[in-house]
Amino acid sequence: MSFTDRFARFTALVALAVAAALLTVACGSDPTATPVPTPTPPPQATPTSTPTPDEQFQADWDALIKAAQDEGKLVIAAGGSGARDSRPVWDVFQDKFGVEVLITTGTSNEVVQRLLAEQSAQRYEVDLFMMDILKQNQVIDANGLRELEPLLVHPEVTDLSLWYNNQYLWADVDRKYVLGYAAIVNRDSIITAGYNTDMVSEEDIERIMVDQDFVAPWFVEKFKGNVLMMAPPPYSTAGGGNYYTIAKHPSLGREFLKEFMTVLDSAWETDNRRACDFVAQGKYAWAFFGSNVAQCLDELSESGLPTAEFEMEAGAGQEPFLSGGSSAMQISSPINPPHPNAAQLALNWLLSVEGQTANNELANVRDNRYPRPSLRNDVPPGKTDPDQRREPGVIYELCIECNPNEHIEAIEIYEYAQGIYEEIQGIN
Amino acid sequence: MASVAAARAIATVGGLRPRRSTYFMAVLLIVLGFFLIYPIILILGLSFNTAEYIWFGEREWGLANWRVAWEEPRLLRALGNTLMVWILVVVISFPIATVIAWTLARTNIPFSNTLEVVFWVSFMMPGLATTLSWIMLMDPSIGLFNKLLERLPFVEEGPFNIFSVPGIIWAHLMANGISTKVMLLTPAFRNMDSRLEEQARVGGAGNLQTMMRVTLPLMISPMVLVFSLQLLRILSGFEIEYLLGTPIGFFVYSTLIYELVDANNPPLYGQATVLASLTLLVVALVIPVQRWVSHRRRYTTITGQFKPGLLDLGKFKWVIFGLMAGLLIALTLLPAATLTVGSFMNRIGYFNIDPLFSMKHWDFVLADNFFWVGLRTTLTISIAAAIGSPLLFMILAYILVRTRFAGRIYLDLVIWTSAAIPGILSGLGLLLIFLGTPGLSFLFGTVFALIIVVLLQGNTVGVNISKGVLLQVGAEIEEAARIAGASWTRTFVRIMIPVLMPTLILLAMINFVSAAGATSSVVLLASRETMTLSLVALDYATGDYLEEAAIVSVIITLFTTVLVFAARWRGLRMSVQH
Repeated sequence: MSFTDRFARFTALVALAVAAALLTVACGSDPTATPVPTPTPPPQATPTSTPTPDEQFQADWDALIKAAQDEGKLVIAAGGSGARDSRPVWDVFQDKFGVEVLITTGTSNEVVQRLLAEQSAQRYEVDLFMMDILKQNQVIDANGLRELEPLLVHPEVTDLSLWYNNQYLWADVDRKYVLGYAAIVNRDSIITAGYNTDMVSEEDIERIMVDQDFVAPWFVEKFKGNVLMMAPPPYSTAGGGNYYTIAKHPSLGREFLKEFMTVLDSAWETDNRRACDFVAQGKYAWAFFGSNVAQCLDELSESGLPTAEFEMEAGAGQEPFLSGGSSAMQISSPINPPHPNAAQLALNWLLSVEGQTANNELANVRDNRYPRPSLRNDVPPGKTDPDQRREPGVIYELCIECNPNEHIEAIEIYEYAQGIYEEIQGIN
Repeated sequence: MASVAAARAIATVGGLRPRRSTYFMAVLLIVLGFFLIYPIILILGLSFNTAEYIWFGEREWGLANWRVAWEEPRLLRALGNTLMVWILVVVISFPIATVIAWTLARTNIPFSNTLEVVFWVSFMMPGLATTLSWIMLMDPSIGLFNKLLERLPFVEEGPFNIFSVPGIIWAHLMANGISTKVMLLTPAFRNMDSRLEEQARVGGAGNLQTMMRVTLPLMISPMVLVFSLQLLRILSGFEIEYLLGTPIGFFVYSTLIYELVDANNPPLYGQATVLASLTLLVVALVIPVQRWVSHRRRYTTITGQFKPGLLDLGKFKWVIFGLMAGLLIALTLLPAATLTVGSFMNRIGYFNIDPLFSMKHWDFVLADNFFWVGLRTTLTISIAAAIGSPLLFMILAYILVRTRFAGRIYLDLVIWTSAAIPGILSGLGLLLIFLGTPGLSFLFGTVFALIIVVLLQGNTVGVNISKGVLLQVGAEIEEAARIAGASWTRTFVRIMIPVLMPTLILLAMINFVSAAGATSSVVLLASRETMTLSLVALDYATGDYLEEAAIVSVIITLFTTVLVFAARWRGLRMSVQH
């Protein structure tokens, strides 16, 4: 038999074997979806006498812990900063309960598309979902999230008096799927900014008493062409929230946003780090939009560089307002979670005093960024930025990104800013 | 005599009982088509779904995506920019790489093997890593070169700006623009029979004339192959353009596609697929040209009378060695050193910060569970790809070059077409395959799904490299071994493997690196327990953790480099010796 003949026979056999294996697998496997895990109800404690509510809760809680430990894992889908920022908090959960926590990575778009694809194929692989409301809404539209309130059992969580304004801060329109658990108070300028202290003098800073001063003739004359702005969504997600806040704030609005974006003859950037570098190295005097850029400049100042985060002089700024809404501050639970008990345990733990204390202490603390303050009233502030904490007992009249319907307006505002940006850039 | 024997060998294969070979090809085409073409068909089908969401709700079929996508106002500019970058990179890199490959393979330049290995190392360095390092060196604000030059009394501002069109071209050349071509062309030059050149010289031709009139024409096949592969990537170059072009508003075709997917909520997969389908036209152009060139004449350079030999460069050999060493320092040592030093800096590029150096980034990475999960998965899939892919690709190439099986043209078509769709979309196609195929869905999220993907993902390059080499190897070598009584196994192990060893090693390395660097093709398939190192690096880089991303890149480069040296050392011992 010739070499080539043998070769052909050999390769044909290999290929046939592979094909047969594939066919066997295809025919032999369940053609329907991955079986949806049936939640094993936590074993109930055997009553010996009528337990007090506290005793009953403790027994149920212990049973939930046991059931979660039996499941062994907790899968969290979180994209972008949410994934990174919350890891240290979930490490605490993992260490405490012995349940392995697996957190996704990837861009938020990849994470949400994968979740939707899995659900469309009736594969359910995710227990908890941490993402911004625009992505969460895609899953809600697909009927992919379950109601959270029935899952909340811990008394520390269900007692609304322990939460800001005696209520949960729901992020979704239906007020039942996506729960916000942290929010920041904005006391400084509405416009997020950082600057190079070699290029911006103390006198300049003192002259900026209100946000409108950023478009005052003196400011424009001095800094025109020497300013960097983070591009609006979808070109960059860095400054999206700030575009919304400026347009939404009663003292500024859309017209101001347009003037601010155009009058300073700004350069545009899409990358936080590069924007921070440009200002730190003196290529530009100011960077606007994007809290990460401002915080980066604040951090570099501690290393001796001529940078600072802009803070308006006390009393000169607008009324403080609350700002919610961020991938690292909102949580939901997809339908048919593979580890339902672990999901419930984790959700209750995260929203409990212990979980929120861990949040205030550990979330987002790398590179001197601050955790977002919890919406619980009864947890220590931890490492949150003092300027961003709520005053005890104060209800903030203006709460931007706190209304579930606002995301629709947010999209409009993003498109509005996008239009201005594209006009400036000559894109269309 | 040799050609008669070769013809006999071909006839033997051609005379294989038709039914068996037909069945074999049918199965092969079905299996490969399923993994390589079916994902493309699926996403092309999706492009006609105009509903807002592709995963749920009613499907709405129509041509809106096709109409809207072609009306994108930036389309022409993006295409123009893409062509400009591609042409400039090819015009500069191709002649340089050809001369280098010829010098390494056909002359007595000192340390030629070492130089070649260092070109391999350059190829092994992840594109993201080299681009990051050149940003660190040529950033207008923090670039080390600019900072050093600004210390001179007559330089007010550093002249380098990596965020520019010349910067993008430079980054391409320094990343893989030159080294890939050197890698692909050197084995082909090396396999050339020196008698042909000797005869030219005996006939009175000088070295240059011999190179132009004999060597290069014989190398047309591999050169066309390299050019075709380059052409295929014309619309898919992404990383460098994205990192360096976006800040200056310079966008190319691939960044436009990326933007449609990543910057829209929900992603506009349909429109992105429409734009990506343009690559199918390039494939349609490449296949006939490549087939015509490879079939219009014979390129056999390794025959039974094969005689390796080297041209004496005389006193110029050290000058040329110096030039090449200088280039290699720029390609490898400089970026590697910059990245390594950068990973220990408190903040990359800041030399006036206090403290300047810190271990905090290394501490962070080494304490991150994601890193260790990524390392384990990456080693598993990369080793699988390094072992499995070369054998698979060589078998496919053998079928295409040495047999007359019916349906080879379709096999060729499958292999070329599979490279038509960029990773960001093919990843979606693979997700659809693994989720939607009952017999495969159990693999979803496991390391086996990733292995299947990485085994096949370099098939266009791998099979075509193998084809190029097989075209050069005369069939009479096998024939002679068999006439002498050797079994086909012995023939394959003792004759074919040594002849093909440099190529097999090359393919192993390419696939190892490709698997280690896979991101978009696996990101939707990797589960939370099967993250790869490149995904971890991407996670760091997109989260502004450049130093951590640099560390992961350094580690990937380190273990691929070790593997390169080990494989080269082992491979060269088994291959044809000059």
